[in-house]
Amino acid sequence: MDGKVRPTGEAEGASAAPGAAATGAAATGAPAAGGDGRRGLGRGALRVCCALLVALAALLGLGRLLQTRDPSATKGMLYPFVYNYAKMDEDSIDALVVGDSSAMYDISPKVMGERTGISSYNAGSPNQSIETSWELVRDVWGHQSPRYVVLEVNELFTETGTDKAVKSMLQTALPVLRDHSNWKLLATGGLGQDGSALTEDLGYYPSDDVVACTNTDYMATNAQPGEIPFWSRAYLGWIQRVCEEHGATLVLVSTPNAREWSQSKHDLVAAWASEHGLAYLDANVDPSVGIDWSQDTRDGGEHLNRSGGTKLSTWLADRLAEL
Amino acid sequence: MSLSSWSYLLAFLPATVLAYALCPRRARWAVVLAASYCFLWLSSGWLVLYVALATLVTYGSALWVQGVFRRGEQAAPADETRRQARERRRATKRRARRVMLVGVLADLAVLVALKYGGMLASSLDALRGALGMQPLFGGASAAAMPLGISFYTLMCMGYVIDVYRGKYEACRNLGTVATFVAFFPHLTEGPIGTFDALAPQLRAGRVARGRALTRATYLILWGLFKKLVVADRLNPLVGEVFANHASYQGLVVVLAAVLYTVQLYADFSGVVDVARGSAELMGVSLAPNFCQPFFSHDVNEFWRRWHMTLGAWLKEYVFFPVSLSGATRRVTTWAHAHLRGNAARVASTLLALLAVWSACGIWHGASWKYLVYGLYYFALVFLGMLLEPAFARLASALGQDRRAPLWRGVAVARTCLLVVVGMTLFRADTLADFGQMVASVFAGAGLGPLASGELFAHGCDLLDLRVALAGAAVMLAFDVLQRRPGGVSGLVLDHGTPLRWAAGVGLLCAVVVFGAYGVGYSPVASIYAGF
Amino acid sequence: MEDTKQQVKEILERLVPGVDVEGTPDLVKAGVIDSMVSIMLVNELEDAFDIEVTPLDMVPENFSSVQAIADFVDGQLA
Repeated sequence: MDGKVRPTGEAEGASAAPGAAATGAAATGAPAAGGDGRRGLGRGALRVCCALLVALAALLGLGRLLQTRDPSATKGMLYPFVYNYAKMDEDSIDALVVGDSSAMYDISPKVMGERTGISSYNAGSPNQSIETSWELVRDVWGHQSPRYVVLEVNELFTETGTDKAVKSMLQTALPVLRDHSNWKLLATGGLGQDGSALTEDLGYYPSDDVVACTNTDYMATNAQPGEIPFWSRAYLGWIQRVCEEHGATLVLVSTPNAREWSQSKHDLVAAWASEHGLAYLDANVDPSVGIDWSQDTRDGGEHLNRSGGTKLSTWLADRLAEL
Repeated sequence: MSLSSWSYLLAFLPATVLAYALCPRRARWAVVLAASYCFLWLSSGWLVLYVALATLVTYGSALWVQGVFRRGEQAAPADETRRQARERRRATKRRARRVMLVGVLADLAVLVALKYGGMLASSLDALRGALGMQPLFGGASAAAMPLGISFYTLMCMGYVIDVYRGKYEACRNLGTVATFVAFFPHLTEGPIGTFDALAPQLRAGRVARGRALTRATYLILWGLFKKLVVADRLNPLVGEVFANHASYQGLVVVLAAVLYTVQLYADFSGVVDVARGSAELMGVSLAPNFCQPFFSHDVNEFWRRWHMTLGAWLKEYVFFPVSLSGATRRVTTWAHAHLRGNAARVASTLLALLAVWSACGIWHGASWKYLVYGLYYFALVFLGMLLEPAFARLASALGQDRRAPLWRGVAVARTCLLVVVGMTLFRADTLADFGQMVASVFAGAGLGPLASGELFAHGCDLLDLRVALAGAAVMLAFDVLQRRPGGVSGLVLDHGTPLRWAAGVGLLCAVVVFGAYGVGYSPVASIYAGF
Repeated sequence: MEDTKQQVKEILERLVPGVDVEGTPDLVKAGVIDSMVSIMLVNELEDAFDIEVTPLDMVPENFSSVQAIADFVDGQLA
């Protein structure tokens, strides 16, 4: 080999980023850091903090700017109609129902009202995550003062990872991260436009389809998980705390679900409920609901149709009145 | 883990940089190494072992090559003549070459097996089928590959070859080599680095401060802007036309091809900018990959400005060796004897160009389509070289100065057109699809889906398109400004605090508001991360 | 040496007609000698001077001017 060889890979940096600190100081107009590196570092850290604060302020301001007048008009959620309790008279509901499609398609506020006079809103939505339920439970107090928060627990067993939870927490802290697509509304009528209208069934979406369910032994045959997922437990605890802060009672409920519910799910939720002093009403183990699996389901056992929903809502209203 | 994902930007990168900065300088490289393997584990799981294997093979063979040379020198007898010395050196070089080839081919073999195994197997089966024989492999599917294998394999090969050529000494420190190979910023999409440029920086343990910190952060924000606001927003529209190309013709196909070129540029350069910014936070300067490529006057210049590090690697390790090899010498001799003038001269580059463009094409993916993509550019370059004197004569006969702005403008437009055609081939699922799409351009105006708005019902509506085009206009302005001395950093970072803060906050807000993420958007994998 | 330089100049003028090869300060930076031209040039040099060029020699410093090329060739001949 000739003399072109240079040893490499072992060089240690001889000094701090050459010139970077000095040009940084010069570029921002601050006096040169001189010989005291620590002072330069402190000043640098201060500049970084200032920049972060400015960025944060800008994002918070943007979030405010992009907020829709009608919360159900936001483009940041798949099913913003869950916020339509805001369209009802203020402080008029006694119960808020949250949960996934098991709540949305099964629980009828109108039937419950006719049964025991309890007024409610069904804020269930397809595949609702526990994070969204928590958002709703935190938000409702700005418009309503329900005495009960009814949480349909099927959503507890939908696996929710840490990244989803973190994303949700970030969106709570910085609403612009959720609502940023509302700029599209600016082009089509502005942020003041109406979202979805309040439905006559107050968030309940009935169907008259009848698809019979044949597996009536589902409690034993469906998947039997070993525990409630971590983040579901965490959020459940936070939801309970929010309810207690506002003097409301959290009630856990399971609607009849032959596709997904099982004995061990029931046992896990019952154990949690008793541990945390919560009432748990499971329609899957109470025959007084009177569900006829050949007539009362719209899709072979996962969701009830109108007749099934009526039976369930009647039963639920009675149980709530007993609490 | 994608470089434009929440988890990277808000968890992995800040945690790594913080740990890096808080660590004593001598140990900072270890933080980088640990973080890189963490990154690899999160992205590829157990496949990280391939990276470790490549590191060991590379480290070992480089030291072995150096050892062969050293022992060769030590074996010199005291009374050696010059001729004997030359003979001894030649023998040593042959031995070292064998060792170098073992190392290089071992790295390459893993890449070929994992990446091209399925393609080779199915092609062999097709051949056997055509000859009436039974298939050997059945439906072999692509093997799982670790992240960045196409990139780090090239870097490993380059390192061993450089040590063999005597460019620098082999590194005795396994940690340095391991960090060089697995360095997480350049793992996903490059830029492809060289050991002598990166190793000292990785060991130096510098932390970005002041202007460097600002520049690094802005680079990341700019990269995110390109990826999230422009590239990801165009993706559904482009995807729809390319997936259902039989339903579209004329202007719509042209539009999709142009938009794909924009998407690819925004996606690739965006992710690379995030990578470079991440590296600069740790005091490491990665080589640039783009230099305003769409201002090129010919295809040659385009490839000197697009994916520059791949071009440099191919030039250094494929083009020059093949050009200076015996086979090329024989071709050149034949050409001088049988051809005249320009053709004779150009023939000497034929083999090398063929090798480079084939390698370039096939590197992008395990499909014959990619080989044709490479050969497309080979044809353009070779034809261009052959016809160059004819063009020059034509221009002078017409009394035109080809340096005039009009001619240069035409050249730029022509280059862009050729590149868009190339990118259409690049994106099309198969060669047949590409052929169908090219034919459909001339089949009619195809304005139907545009006018009816049906084209905008697949996830990218007119509003999305407007925002993406506005973003592309910003990118164009950036490229124009970048050609000024000092570039955009000089403009934005050195003109006082208000402008700098406004630019930074503006960029951040643009990314947050107009980024294609959240409800209604599915995350788009970086295009080059799949190679 | 002058003989080498004269030969190199002639070869270059044949390869890139119309370019003032001695007047351009840096042939590589000016784009006169790119990778392709450098290979064609190297082939001609190898034929004319009977030298052997390796990839390590393909650096801009060796091709930046007629003098640089001539110096490189002389170095190989030594």
